[in-house]
Amino acid sequence: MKKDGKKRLAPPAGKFGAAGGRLIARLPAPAREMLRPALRLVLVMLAAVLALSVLNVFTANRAAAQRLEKNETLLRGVLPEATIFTETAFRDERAEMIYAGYTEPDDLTGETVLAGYCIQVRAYGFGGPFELLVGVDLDSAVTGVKPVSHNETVGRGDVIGTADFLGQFEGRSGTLTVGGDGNAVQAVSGATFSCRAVNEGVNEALAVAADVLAGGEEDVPGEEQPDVTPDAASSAEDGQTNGGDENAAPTDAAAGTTGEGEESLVGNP
Amino acid sequence: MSAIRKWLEDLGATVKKPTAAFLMSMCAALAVTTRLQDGVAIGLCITVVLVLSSLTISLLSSRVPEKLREVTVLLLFAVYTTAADMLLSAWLPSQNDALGIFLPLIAASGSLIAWVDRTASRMPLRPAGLQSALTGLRMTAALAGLSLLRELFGSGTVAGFPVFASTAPVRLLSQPAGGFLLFGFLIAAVQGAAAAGRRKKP
Repeated sequence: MKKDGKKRLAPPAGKFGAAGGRLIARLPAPAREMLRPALRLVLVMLAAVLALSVLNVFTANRAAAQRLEKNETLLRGVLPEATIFTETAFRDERAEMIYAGYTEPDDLTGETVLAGYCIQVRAYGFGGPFELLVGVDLDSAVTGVKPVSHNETVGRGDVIGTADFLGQFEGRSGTLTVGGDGNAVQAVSGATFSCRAVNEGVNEALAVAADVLAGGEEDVPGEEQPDVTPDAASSAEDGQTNGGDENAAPTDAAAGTTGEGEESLVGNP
Repeated sequence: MSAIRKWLEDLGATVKKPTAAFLMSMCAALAVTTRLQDGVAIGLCITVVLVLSSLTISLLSSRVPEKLREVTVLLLFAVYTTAADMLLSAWLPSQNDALGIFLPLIAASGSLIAWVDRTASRMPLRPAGLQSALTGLRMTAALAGLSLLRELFGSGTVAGFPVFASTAPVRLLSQPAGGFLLFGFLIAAVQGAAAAGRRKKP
């Protein structure tokens, strides 16, 4: 910068090279008056970019790690059984992202088993679309629901972020409705629209999960394959003892395709 | 009561100065003043950006040609705001999420940029830093007060801790419309006090 200051007084030479300086000096006065500040501005901007780039080197990794950790916390919140999450190769146009959740490695064998899937879907709320994360276990039952972020009205629609409302979805499967009899969750009065949005998101996630559980076994990475089937069977038993009336989703899924995992799911109990 | 009146009169006196323009800068910040900590956080971010920009332009003013000064101030605001955004997202991610888009928007607070361009750039280093810090802190105080009122009466909490056991008494306050209404009343009170002060003095 110091050189710049001097350059204003002396004819521009030196830094840009004598040739460049002479070139600028030879230009007509109006062009020179425009060119000099412009070049100086370029220098100032380069300095700014350089400073921010240096700062970015120090903060980018940490910021990314923080984002990852936040995501991990969210995933654990909706699928508490699992501690290790990986993005899966499954693609479904209804879902933004499908994560597979695996349990903590066993102390003796070091094995991890598939605990379920976390499906990120888009819900259409009162304040615009928002992302919804839904955990689904291997029985196609919801393990947890959480909005990633939402713009619902403060004091009204934002009840969809509360445990009271979201807790209603836990353990449910099939297709849920808002209000009414049967497989229904209760909307919070004054926030019906927002509650419906969440419900639709959960239904979509359950449908995606059913497809993944039914047909996706061969897409699971190779080394996980042997672990999946016994676990699916054991947790199917759990599901059967907890709530016997909720096998709507597995049969729905089985209607389309009959994968290996599906057979073991139905066969074992 | 008289203490409040005195405070309002003092505030009114400051409004008569160029500070009045800064009230307009608060509009963007209004969106995030639903919780006390967010109001304080955005206020402090504004203060830091303002002080650093003022100091830098005060240092550089002799070397930056007149023509480029405004652009340079704009650039400085953008640089420091981006830096604040980066630092916050690395070390206080939850606060960064709460402020959202309104943190980068500090770079677009025109009246502050104009103030730095016109006033701070002509000051020596120390007064520039002092004046900008005072201005920023005053804004922080105003934003903190606003967010305290909005949180207390809009959600019934203070900095997240529940104060009213029942539901929030004035829900409107936690919404943007309520924020603008309260802001309007606040300005009216301040201007009223300033007018009263003027009438009394001569």
